[in-house]
Parts: sequence; structure tokens; C-alpha cells
Amino acid sequence: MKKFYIRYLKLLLLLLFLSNHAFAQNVQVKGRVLDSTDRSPLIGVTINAKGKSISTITDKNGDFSITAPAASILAFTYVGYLSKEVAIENQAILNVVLNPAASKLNEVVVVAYGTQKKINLTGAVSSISGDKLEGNPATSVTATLEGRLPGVTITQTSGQPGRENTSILIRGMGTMNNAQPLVIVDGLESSLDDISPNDIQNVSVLKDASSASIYGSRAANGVILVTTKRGKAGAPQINYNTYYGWQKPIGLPQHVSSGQYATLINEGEVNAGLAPQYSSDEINKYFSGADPYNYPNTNWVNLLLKGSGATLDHNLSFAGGTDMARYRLSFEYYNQDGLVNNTNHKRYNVRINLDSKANKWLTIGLNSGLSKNDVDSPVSPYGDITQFFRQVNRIPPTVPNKLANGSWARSIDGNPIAWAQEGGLANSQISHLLGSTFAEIAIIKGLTLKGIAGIDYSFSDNKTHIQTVAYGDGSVQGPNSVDDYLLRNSTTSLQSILNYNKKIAKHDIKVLLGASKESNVINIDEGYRKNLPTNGLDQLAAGSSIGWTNNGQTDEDKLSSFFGRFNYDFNNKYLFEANLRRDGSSKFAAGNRWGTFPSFSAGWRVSEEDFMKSLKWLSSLKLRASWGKLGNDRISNYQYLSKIALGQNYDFGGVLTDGAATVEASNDHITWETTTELDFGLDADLFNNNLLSVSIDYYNRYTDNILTSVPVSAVFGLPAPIVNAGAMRNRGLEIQLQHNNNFGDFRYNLSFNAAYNKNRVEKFSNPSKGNTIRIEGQPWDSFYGYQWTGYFQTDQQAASSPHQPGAPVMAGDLRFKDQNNDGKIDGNDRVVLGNTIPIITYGFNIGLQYKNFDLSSFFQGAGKVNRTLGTEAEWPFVNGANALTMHLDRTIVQGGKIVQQGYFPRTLINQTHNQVESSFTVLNSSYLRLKNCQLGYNLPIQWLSHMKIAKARIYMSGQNLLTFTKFPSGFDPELPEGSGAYTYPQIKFYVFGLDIKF
Amino acid sequence: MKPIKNLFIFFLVLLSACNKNALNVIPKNSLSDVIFWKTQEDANLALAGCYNSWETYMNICFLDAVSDNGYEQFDYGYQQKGNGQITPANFQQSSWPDKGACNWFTYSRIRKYNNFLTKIATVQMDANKKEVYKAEVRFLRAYDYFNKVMFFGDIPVVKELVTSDVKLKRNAAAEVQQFILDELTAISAILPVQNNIESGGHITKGAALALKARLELYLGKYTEAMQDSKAVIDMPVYQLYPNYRDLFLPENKLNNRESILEIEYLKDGYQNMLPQLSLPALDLGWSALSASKSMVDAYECSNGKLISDPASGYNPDKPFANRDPRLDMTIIYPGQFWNGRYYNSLDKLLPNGNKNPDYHEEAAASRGGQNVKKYVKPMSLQDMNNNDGNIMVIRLAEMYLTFAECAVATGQNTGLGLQYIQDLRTRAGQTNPPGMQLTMDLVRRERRVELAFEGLRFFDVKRWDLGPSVLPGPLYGSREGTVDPVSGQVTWAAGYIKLEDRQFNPVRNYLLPIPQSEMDSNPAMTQNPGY
Repeated sequence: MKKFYIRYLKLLLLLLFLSNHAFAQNVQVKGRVLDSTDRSPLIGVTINAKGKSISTITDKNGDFSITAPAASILAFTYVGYLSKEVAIENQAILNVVLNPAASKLNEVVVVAYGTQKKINLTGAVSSISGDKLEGNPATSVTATLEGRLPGVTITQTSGQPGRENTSILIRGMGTMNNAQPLVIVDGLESSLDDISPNDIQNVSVLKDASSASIYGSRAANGVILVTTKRGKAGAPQINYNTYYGWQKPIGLPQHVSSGQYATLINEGEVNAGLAPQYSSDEINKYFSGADPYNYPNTNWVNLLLKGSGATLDHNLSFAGGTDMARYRLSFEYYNQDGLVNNTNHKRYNVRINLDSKANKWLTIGLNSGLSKNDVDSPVSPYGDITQFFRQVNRIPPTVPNKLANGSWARSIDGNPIAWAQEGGLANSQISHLLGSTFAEIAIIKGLTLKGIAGIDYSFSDNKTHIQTVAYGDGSVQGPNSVDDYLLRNSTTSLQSILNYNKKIAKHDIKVLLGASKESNVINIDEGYRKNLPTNGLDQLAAGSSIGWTNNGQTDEDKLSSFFGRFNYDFNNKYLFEANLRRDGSSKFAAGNRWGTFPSFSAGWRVSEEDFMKSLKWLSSLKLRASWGKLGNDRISNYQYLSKIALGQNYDFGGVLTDGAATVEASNDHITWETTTELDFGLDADLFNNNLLSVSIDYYNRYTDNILTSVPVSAVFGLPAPIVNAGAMRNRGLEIQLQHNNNFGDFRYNLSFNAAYNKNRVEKFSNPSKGNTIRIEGQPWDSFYGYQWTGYFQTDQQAASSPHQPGAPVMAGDLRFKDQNNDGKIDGNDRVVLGNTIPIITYGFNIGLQYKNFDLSSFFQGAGKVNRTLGTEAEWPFVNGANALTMHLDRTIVQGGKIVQQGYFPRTLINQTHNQVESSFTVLNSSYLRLKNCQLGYNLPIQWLSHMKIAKARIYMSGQNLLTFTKFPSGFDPELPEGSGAYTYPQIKFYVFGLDIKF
Repeated sequence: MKPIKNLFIFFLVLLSACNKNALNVIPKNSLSDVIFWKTQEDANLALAGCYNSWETYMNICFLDAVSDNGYEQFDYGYQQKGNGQITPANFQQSSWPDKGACNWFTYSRIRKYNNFLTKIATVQMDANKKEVYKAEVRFLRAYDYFNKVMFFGDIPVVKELVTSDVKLKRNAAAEVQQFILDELTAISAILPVQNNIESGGHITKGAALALKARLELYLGKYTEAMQDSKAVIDMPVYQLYPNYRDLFLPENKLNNRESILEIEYLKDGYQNMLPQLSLPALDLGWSALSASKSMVDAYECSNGKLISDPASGYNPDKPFANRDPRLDMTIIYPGQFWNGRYYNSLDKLLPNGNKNPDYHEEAAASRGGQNVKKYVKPMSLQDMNNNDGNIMVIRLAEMYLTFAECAVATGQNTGLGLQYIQDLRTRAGQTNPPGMQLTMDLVRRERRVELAFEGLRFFDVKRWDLGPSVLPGPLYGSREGTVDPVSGQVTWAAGYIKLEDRQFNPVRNYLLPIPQSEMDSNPAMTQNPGY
């Protein structure tokens, strides 16, 4: 038996050995760990063979190599990401994708002078990280933000390269002055224009008083905080992004053909009691097109829009460093040709961000952005590019562009096509330096002192070289001239910030104290000469000394501030923040200079309470409330001083004699405009965090002592002075919903944001009335005019119904409501007709991802908003202008009564009684726009790894692809108010791009 | 230790932010009241500042479009006042950026003048000179009120600086008129007797008395008007310019002793654009102003008889033959030889088959087919926009006509009155027929013809109450026809070019509306009747 046991034991040992050999056989597994959202390599991911003490971490490329028993399960863990377990199962190569942790516990938001955990935020802050903007080309940073942040209304009013004219409003129009938010780039006031989208780490929008108040004086309209990317410790990361794109106008005004023009103008002349000017023979010739020089059909708009619209962008960045020193350098080149020949925008950006831990207690660093914008646009002896668009919209199609001999034909003001080709060029070279150095000292544990010295300097070097244009009739439009206009804008700022953090048990305290000083100087110098010997010369020295002029100006303002912030949170559950800021502004007289602006906010993370723990579907819930006061001093300088303007000259007997006069009124009582804002907010994550997150804010913003001018009687004799005049209120609701999910390899995310804002003037002593009105109880600057009720059916009805005294109204004219029933239509019959500030703005994003493919589309819209086209576009034949095809839908009158009802009233020449501001001219400009649609593909890693490429993505995208609106076709619903006949069209933008990470 | 040092810097920033003067900035582009109003130089600057934009050429040269003399096609502000479509809301609507055009309601000039008259008190300068400066500015103020009372009737009068909360009622027109007359009387004792060559465009005694005579005539104060106009006529510094056409041309401004009050213009600094606005299209102008048929018909035949007089020898098919030479010197009409061609506003096509830019329907052509020639001559496109021709507001001929009208009205000095009229006709080359009598018809016709397109017809229509007979209904331009490009011979058709239908509302009493902006901002203001 013993033998048996021994044999058995031996067998068992053998088996054990064998099995041990089989089970414990180690295999080497290699692979790469990537972020699931952007497929970037994750560095430092811990990989642990489960139950074994074998582990490794990924290298700078996200690569790892581990030798572990073949049957092991590998656990991938990484801070901020969901852990993942993968069985080896004979795989030698294992590529793993990690999903960012759905738990938002660690999400950090950039706030004023620092960052804060999102969960501990008590103010209303919207933010978007730079990677959401990446690979999403647009002509400017501002344009990429449009519709992405609730409560932030962005409009781009022109498609002209380098002159896009974007405007940003946060929570509506909060002041009658400049209502643009304050833009802070890396701690310094600046603009969004000169930043490369690829350099952006984060954009935060501080919307309520409490989050913004620490910026005090200029934060009353909200603050946009831009943080640029910085280097991280580790091996160098090299990114290269490029795209090529081209533009097309979204829509163009559709003008009538020359035959239609002649027909319609004849009708208008007959309606106005005049003789028709075109015979039917002539009209036939226009329609036939057989004689293109005497009876042309010129499409002026098409002739002007001959530019390629090609756009090219290269962006290269290097980032990396050690624990002691980190760097990020980037360079961007951007070149955009416009839709009009000779319109071009080139932008060069260099950004250098350095951080160095000099020693145990000192960190120093540098933020610098250098940019150069080079913008070209054609000019003419008659004006800048707005005149070009005005002229192509004005000149009738019956005027030829060229004569039979090939020379330029000319209309009354010249020929815009000749100008575009030969009229000369306006070039702006804008060099912009935004730089700051900082030093941060750790004084004792928890206490740091940071000093920042910054310079924002821009040098704008503008040369307008107007050339003479020779026409076929022998006339020469001129003179040629050169105008050099140099503008230097320099802002220097000094900030000191003392920070103290202390955590005692569950009490977390943060204190910030700071002071800052800022001064801004603008210097302008200008020289002008005309009559240069040839068009080829463009230097001042070549011009004549007869009629030369020069000019110089300076403008200066200063701001001093002290501020403090106190944060307290108990157990991440009860949150409290208080801010206090004191500002002094040079824009006010000594006694009215300083203002004090406090704010308070509190948050309660309800979901942390024990009684909520049972609600499993509710992952987190936070309630927020804030109240605060902000100041605004955005008026032009020196308003409190009584000034005498020079240059009020007169000719006495052939000698130009210098003159001076008071041309504006001053008011030494002016002081800070204040905005008081109350905000209630709710943030919630539902259903296991990632299924639905909701954020809702209600706000009530009251702006008082608004610095504006109140209408005065003309008898005063000067333009109304700036006074602390009125008050207005903006009330609104903002909502943001997000939903992410995946089914296997198919991932998707949906987000929706919407904002409702209602503006109301609360105090305004003397209503300002015109085509817009400022009056208590109505939104600021609402359209104001007659209520259109229909058309006069017969001459007799027109004559016997209330109408404007003196207006020769007849059948087919617009009929307006006599609001006060006094038998005539006059100023007392005007009513409020809408507003250019949308009451509703919204956006939604759909993102789909399947394996290496991603598709995203982004829609954006505005509702309850109005605009007018302006008289020259709204009406046919204004002062000799052209007509649009929409004007063909007109009312036709014969024998004193309407025989055909159209949308427009009867066509008239030189009679303007239908053109008054009314509900006919105030149009609904609501729209929904497919702002961006993008299809991307990440090249498989196995193709790339031997090229040392960590990631490569190709994509195609389109911007402004579709617009749904009731606004008249050919006009963009976002066009600058009233400028239908003047604007450079909005553009569609198609792009192919490539992003590579090494 | 370093941290301590940095703390120190932190507090330095705090301290400098505290510094009281740190926030003081001083404007460096403009003067301020604190340092101004001290020296003679300050007074000189302020005086030139008062003259700046005291009147614009457009209000002189285009105002006849608000009468039966003409038509203004682009609505620079005059068209709707001419055809009766003016409303309180479109009062200042103008397609032209000349802020002075039709801007009679503004008190910005009045404020400037009142400011000068108040603050010059502190200036240290020769006392007599100061009085002259003040008198000049008082004239400008009186001139401004003259326009206000003529266009708006009752109007608030302010003589001092007022605060921005001012809400004044209208003063009665008679009160305003009396103020103007009193001021003009007072300053005429202070101002020097000089013509414009001597004064360099400064206001003179002649200007003060001439404006006074004008207002007195308008008010029917014939005795006073006669006296004041005679005083001006008798000033040795004035005389009729020998040539009627040349009187208005820029190059002759330094020899012009006829001008009593004028707006001075200078190239590259204080220029006007009148030639650009007035010249025919083929001369690269914009033909903004057209002469009416009624205007052309007002000119006598060269024998001194009206065209309606069968004995005049007027031939409707040769309408421009044997007419008062001033017609030729004032209006460019079809078939007239002008700038190397026979002006042709009647044919659509040029002989070479190309479009005719002067054809009256073309964009830059005279809508009525008759351009206004007074004050302009062909020049380069550049010069058109940089014109230095002075524009006369009052000239000696007006004083002659004022005297003559007063003579008819009072029955006194009729011989001298007739003589003055004959002098004007003789100067222009028009016959004084034997047995010529000084009648009101003659005076009115002579006034219309001699002073055509000088901005006086509107006031004459108003004071003679010609409105109902000359303003409503269709306004015509040239007769239609075709022009032989070689001979200039016009073959006339039956019809006339119709410019527009005009309305005339007698309730309005020839007054313009108070602008809606003033109605909206001043509760004490009342609207004129009919608006």
C-alpha cells in the first residue's frame, strides 16, 4: 500500500508539475492604451495581472509590455478613467480603449483666478474643453463657440476674411453700452480673435454675478476665460493639424433680370403718375440678350464674387517637459482667400507657454501669444468693401459692366467690378503680443503668493492705397491716394494674488486676496497724401503736398482694483463662496471713481445627504444660489470732462483758419453702472451618471444707473450727454442636457442646450423713439413703427381711410392701423414690433462613434427674433437702385383698384410712404442652422505604429451647411440689422483635414 | 528671504493702486474749458469754430427744388419738401451725408454761438475787437433764427446756454422776428463796412443790414426794408459784377464786389461738391437738380415781352431763341452748346448707337432734361468733389430788387427802383423795352429770374401766397423731342417730361413739420398744422 501511495504521490507531483507548468506558463503581451473619445494614447496607465504581483505602466506612446501567466486577466486602471479588465486569452497584442470615468467627481472647471472642482461650484459656469473644439475648423475661435454654451449668443455678421465681425452676448443685452463680455486669456484681458483654436485647453464662461464678480468692473456682461494648453511632464508630444477648405456664400440677394427690371420700373412709374421709360421693344431686347452692350443683363453680384474662397491651415505644436520644467510651443499658419478677389486673411500665431519649478518654493512661468494678422480688401475712390456690396446690390442689370471695346462701363458712382480689380487695396497688418510672466511662491503650507505682469500690445499698421480707375467713357475716377494709419493699443497690467487653502477635518477653506492695476493707452497716427504720379506708387513720399493731411490722437484709461474671495465647504456637501471687489476707474471724476461690488453664493449637494442615498437613479444633485453686484464703466474716456474740440475750421478769404468748439456735452456726475444678479441653479446626474446629466439655471439680472444718453430736446443744442440714466432687467432660464451611451463598439452622445431670455427696460426717464424705442416696460431698442393691417383695395378707400398726412396713398398701398383713432397715421400710432436680440437660443449636438469612425453634427438656432433688411434691400428702386426677384410678388393696380394681390404693395418710384418702419418691414429672423457636420476616421494604429505616429485622424466637415428660416431668401438671418444691401455674405465652409499626434 | 521680498512687492502694487492721482488721465487731443477762453488766440479759434458749418451750399443751391423752379431727384432732403410728402418722421431723411442739408431745426449752431457770446467775457483782448467778434456771432445767430422762423413759424428762442433738461415752448413768430431785427440793428452799428474781398468772408455791416432788409421785406415792412436795402446799396464797397454768368464761377471770387454774405470754400479743407451734384451726366456730374418748365417759361423774350404775349415773337418750336440771356446763363437745355457738344437729354441713344448718359431717364441725368448751370462749369472729376467756389447767400442784386419791390409797394422812389431793375437787366444783356414801367409783376418776375436757384423762391412763393396756383399738380421739365447732334437743332414733340405730382396743403401755411424726434423728447413742443 505504501508503494501505491508513493507511486500515487509521484504521479500527483508529476501532474502537479505538469499542470503547474501548463498553468503558470508566462506569455508576453504587448499593446497600447487609448482614450476612447479622442483615441489619444494614455500615458502611465497601470496594468496589473489580476491576483498576481505583476504590473507595469504604459509609456509615452501609451504602449505597454507585460509578461504574465497566459491565463491571467489584466486590469487597466488610470486616474479619471473607468477601469477595465481584459483576459489575455492567447492574444500577443492587446489594444485597449479606456472610457473616461463617468463619475464627475474629479472634473475641474476653470474659474476666476484658478480652478475648482465642478461638483463644488456654486456659480453659473459653462465650460467647454479645447478638445471639443479641435478638428472643427472655423474661421475664428468665436465662430467655433457659436451655440455650444447655453446663454451665450454669438452672431457672426460677415463672411469677409479677417473682418468676420462676431459679437458675443451672455444672458442677453445687459447694458446700453458695449455689452460684449470680458475675455480673459491666461489671466489677461484680451480678445478671442488671435488665438489658434488648437491652443485652447479650456473655455469657461462665467455667467452669474458670483462667478464673475471677482473681475469686477468689466464683468457685468459675463466673462469668457480662455486657458491655453501647457506642457506636461513626459516625453515630447508633437501634434500636427492641417486642413484645406473652401467657401461658398450661404445665400445671395437674387436680383431681377434686366427685362424684369424694365418691366417693373415701368409699372412703378405709371403707378407714380409718370411716363413709363422703356418701350416694349426695348424690354424685348433686354429679355433676348441679343445686344449685350446696349441691352445687357448684368448680374453684378456674381461678377463681384469671383474669389476662390480657398482656406489653408497648418498647426504644429510641441509639448513636454520634466517635473522641473515644462513647455509647450505652437505655430499656426492660416490663409484664407475671400469670395471677392483681393480679399485675403493670413494669420500667423506663435504661442510659447513655459512653467518651471525653480526651487522648492518658487514656480515661474511665461505665457505668450504672438500673432500677426494680414488682412487685404479692395478699396475704391468711392469707399471700402461695404460700398462694393452696396453698389452691386444697387446698380440695375441694365447697366453693362464693360463696353463693346472691353473698357469699363460706369454707373453713376463708378463700377464696383472695376474697383475690385483696379481700385486699389486696403491692407492691415495687425501684430499682437499678449504676454505675461508669473511667479508663484509657496510661503508656508497652503499659502501662495502669485505675481503676474502682463502686456497686451497690438500694433495695427494700415495702408489704404486708392488707385485711379479709368472708364471707357474717358473719365477717370480718383484721385489716387495713400493713407497710412497706425494704431497702437497697449495694456499693461500688474496683479498680485495671495492664496490660502486649509483643510481641517471636513472643513475646507480657501481664501484669495488680490490687487491689480491696469492701464490702457491707444495712440493713433495718420498720414494722407493724394495725386501720386502713378497708381504703382504707394508710399506717402510719392504723393503731392497739396491736400495732404496728417492726424494724431491718444486715448487713455486706467483701472485699479482690490479683490478678495472666500470659499468654504463642509464635507463636499455644503458650499459657500463670497467675493468682494473694489474698483477705481479713470473714466469718472475723482469723487465718483470708486465702486464696491460684493457677491455671495452657496451650494448644497443634496445627493450627499443620507436621506438621498436610497435614490439609486440619482447619482448626484446639487442646488446652487448666488447673488452679486457688478460694475460697468464701458463708456468712452473723458466723458466727465468738458472738452473743446479742435478742427472746427473755416475758410476766411482763402485761408483755412483753425477753429474750436464744444461739440459734445459732458457730465461730471457719472459713476459706475451696476448690475445685480440673482441666480438659482441645479445640476444633476441621473441613472448611473452617464445616462443623463441636467443643468438648469434661472437668473434675474438687474442693471441700474445705466450709462447712456437720454433724449434731450434739440433746443439743448448738443448731443445728449452720458448720464446714469436707466435700468433694465434680463430674466431667463438656461438648460443643458447631456446623454452618453454605448452599445458595444457603437458609442453616441447627445447634448442639448437652450436659453430663454427676456429683456425689459425698467427705468428710462425720457423715452427714446425712432425706428427703435427705449421705453419702460419694453425690451431695449425694440423696433417701433406702424402696425401693418393689409392693403388699400381701392383709391377711394385709401383716400377716405386714415393715412400719413401728405402721403399720396392709393389702391395697392400698405394700410396701417390708426391706434389712437384720430383719423390719421402719425407718430402717435407707432407700436413695439420686435427686437434683434433673440428671446430663445438653442443648440444640439449629435455625436456618433463606431470603431474608428466618428460623425458629429451640430445644430444651432435662435427664435423670437426680428430684423429689418434696411430700406435699400427691402424696397425696389430706392434712389435709383435695383430690384430683387422677391419684389416681383407685388400688388398690381388698375383703374384705381387692386387687380392682383401680391406680398409687396404696388411698385412705386420716388414715393416712400410704404417704406416707413412697420410690421411689414420688421421681419421674423428666427432660424435653425446646421452649423457643423463632420465625419472623421482614425487610422488604425497598426498602420501607424511603425511610422512612430501615435494617432492620425482624417476628417471632412462643413460649416453653415443648412439654414432653415423664414427670412427673405438670399439674406442671412444673422445679418447686421438693416444692412441687407451692404453686407459681405455669410459663408458655407467645406473642409478636409488631418490631425496627427507623434 | 525671497518670499518676504515678494510680499513687499505685493504691497507695493497695493500701495500704488491706492495712489490718488494714479487714476487721473487728461485728454490730449482736445482743449478744455478750464484752460480756454483766456487769450485773443482762444477767441480766434472759437470765432472760426462758430463760422464752421454756419450754412451749407446745399441749402442755398437746392432750396428752389422746394418751389416751382426746380426738382431735386435724389431726395437730398428737398424733394419731399417740394412735393408735399414731408412728414415729421422723414424730416431729416436725406440720401446725402451733408449734416447741414435741410437741418434748420438743429440748435447746435445756436448753442455754439451762445457759448461764444457767454464765455468770451473772460477773454483778455482789445475791447473793440471783442465787440466786433461778438457782433459777427450775433449775426450768425440771427441768421439761424431767421431760417428757423421762416421754416417753422413759432420756435423756441434761446439766447443763453441751457441745460440738457430744457423743455421749452415755442415763442411766437413775431417775437422771434423782432429779436432778429433788434439784433441786426444793434450789430450793424458795430460791424465794419467792407465787401467780402476785404472782410475775407467775415460778417460785415452790409450783411447785417441786408439780412434785415430781407426779413423786413418778407414781413411787409416796406419802408424799413427800403431804407436798409438803400443803405447797403449806397455802401461804396459793393458793385454789380460785370458778367452775370461769371459772377458765379469759382475763379472770379476774388473780384466779386457784388457779394454781401457768402459761404467761403477752399480746396482740401473746406470744399464743396456742388459741381459733382449739379453737372450733367456726360460731364460726370449727377444732375441732382433740374429746372422746371415753369422756370424756363418765366424768362422773357429778348424784347422784354413774356412768352405768353403774342407780340413777343416767341416760337414754341424754337423756345430758346431770342430769350432773356440769363436763361442761357442759368440753365442747360436741350440743344444748348455745352462743353463741346449739343446737350441732349431727350434721345436715348447717342449717334454711335451707345446709350446716352444725358438721357433724362438715365441714372445721373437731369430728370427733367434741364440741368442748372449757375455756379458750375465743366471740370475734372477730382475738382468737382473738391470745389472752392464761394456760394453767395445775399448779393447786391437782391438789395436792388428789394428796393424796387418796396418802391412798388410804397409808391415811393419808383424811378430809382426801375433804374435798379434796369441795371440788372443791362448787366445780363437783357433789353429794357421803351416805356418800361415798374410794376409788381415785373419785380416778381425779375426776382425769380435774376435770383433763380439761389434759394429765395420758396420764401417768395410763401409771402406772395402763390402756393395754390404754382405748387400743386404735375411738375414738368423739358419738352420732349430729339436733338440733332451735328446742328443742335431740336425737333420738338408734343409732350413734356413729367417729373412728379405735387400736393399742396394750404393748412400747413408753408411751414415744415417739427421733427418727430423733438415731438418725442419735448412734451412742451406742439406740431405745425397739417402734419
